[in-house]
Amino acid sequence: MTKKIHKKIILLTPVLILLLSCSKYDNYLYEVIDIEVSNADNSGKEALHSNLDSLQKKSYAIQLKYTMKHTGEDGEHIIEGESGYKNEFTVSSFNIYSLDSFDLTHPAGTSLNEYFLISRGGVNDEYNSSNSINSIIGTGNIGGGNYNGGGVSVDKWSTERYLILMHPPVNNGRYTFIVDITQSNNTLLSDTTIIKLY
Amino acid sequence: MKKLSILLFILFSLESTANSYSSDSTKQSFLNNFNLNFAWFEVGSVIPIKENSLNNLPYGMDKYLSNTKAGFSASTFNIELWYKNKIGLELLLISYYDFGYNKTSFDNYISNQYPNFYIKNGWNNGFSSGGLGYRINYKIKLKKFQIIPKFQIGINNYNSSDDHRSFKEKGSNHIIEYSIEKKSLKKNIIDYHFIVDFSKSVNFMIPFEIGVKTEFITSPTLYQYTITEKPYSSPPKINQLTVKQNNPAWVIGLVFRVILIK
Repeated sequence: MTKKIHKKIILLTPVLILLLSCSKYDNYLYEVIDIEVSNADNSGKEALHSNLDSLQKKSYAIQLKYTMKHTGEDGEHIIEGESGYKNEFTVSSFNIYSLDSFDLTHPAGTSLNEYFLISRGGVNDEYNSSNSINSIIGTGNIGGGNYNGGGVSVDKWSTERYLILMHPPVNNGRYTFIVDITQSNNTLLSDTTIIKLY
Repeated sequence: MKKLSILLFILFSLESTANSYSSDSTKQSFLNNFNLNFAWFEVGSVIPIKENSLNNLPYGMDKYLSNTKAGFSASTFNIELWYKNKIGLELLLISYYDFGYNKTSFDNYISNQYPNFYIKNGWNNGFSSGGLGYRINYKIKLKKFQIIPKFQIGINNYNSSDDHRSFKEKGSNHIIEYSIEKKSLKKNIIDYHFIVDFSKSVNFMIPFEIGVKTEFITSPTLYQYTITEKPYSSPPKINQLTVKQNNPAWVIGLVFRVILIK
């Protein structure tokens, strides 16, 4: 009898372990409530915010800072440290343009989306041709979770991305870049940065 | 989960079959020739053996493929069916072998090829294999110990991810996208294992066996590697080569089995 009980314990333990390890978690929801753009220098291993008035055009980037607000959850199964983060409102449009003429095919005010790639930043980030502005519009996701410490310990948090200029302008000079993002709740997020490129 | 359900079904079916024949002495004595073991786990270290045939591959693939590093192996829920406690058949439901590869020499090769670029991340030049395995075993008893030579064969899900890297130029935003894509030219990859298991039977609450094993593995593969180098906004340069590998390795590990029906 004791042997039979032992056998069943031996056999059922892995079943329990597997059942417990197959849980699915719901997500925290957030909304991007603000964006802030500034200049960045990508001449080194990673793009970094810059306070300089002028930067080299071949290594210029725009730092895009998102501010997020926790808005709720998409289900009841929330586990701190395990649940993911999800945009409550997706991106309807994302547009970068310059108030100054950029080149012959891109006069002032026309979209420069195709000239930029997106980097997450950090020494190990690798941006490539699939990290385009169109990919953001395709997925509809902007911003990111508050993974520091897990869970939503604060109501608001921020994260950064870098818009890497892959086609520098032909002419040196002062450029005013504007980033406009519209979300599915019709909120327009917009900010401007000015830089002298050489 | 499905595999585990099948395992449990088989075990309980065998146990109930044994009981239902208890009134038939002939059948019972025939069934008494069999015993069923349940190998709770086998864990070990995989030590890949360098293949000399890979030494002169072009495009740095010699460095990519032939720098071996120890990995990890594990299998669990193995079922052994023994006849007269001498000859056994074994089914491995869950097994995993991780073949590590040293990344440094390929990193150095790439750094020399692209000295003006940052090489930020590593490479997927290791691989893992696993899947269903079938063994035939022969037990040799030596007083308190037993030696079990085993031969194993299985179709594995050999798994080695493609590499898609992007090198950033120093001082500019320019990048070179570099990829190594892998395609098996064989429909199935079969692995062969030659194992010697040295263990001891112990009777403590439930009978079990504990021991060590040494194992030689080979998984012959035929892979096509496509190496693509694409500077941003420029046409790609593509190189291809086909490589035959035997992927030999040693495994040294521990074994723990429970005797379910004796």
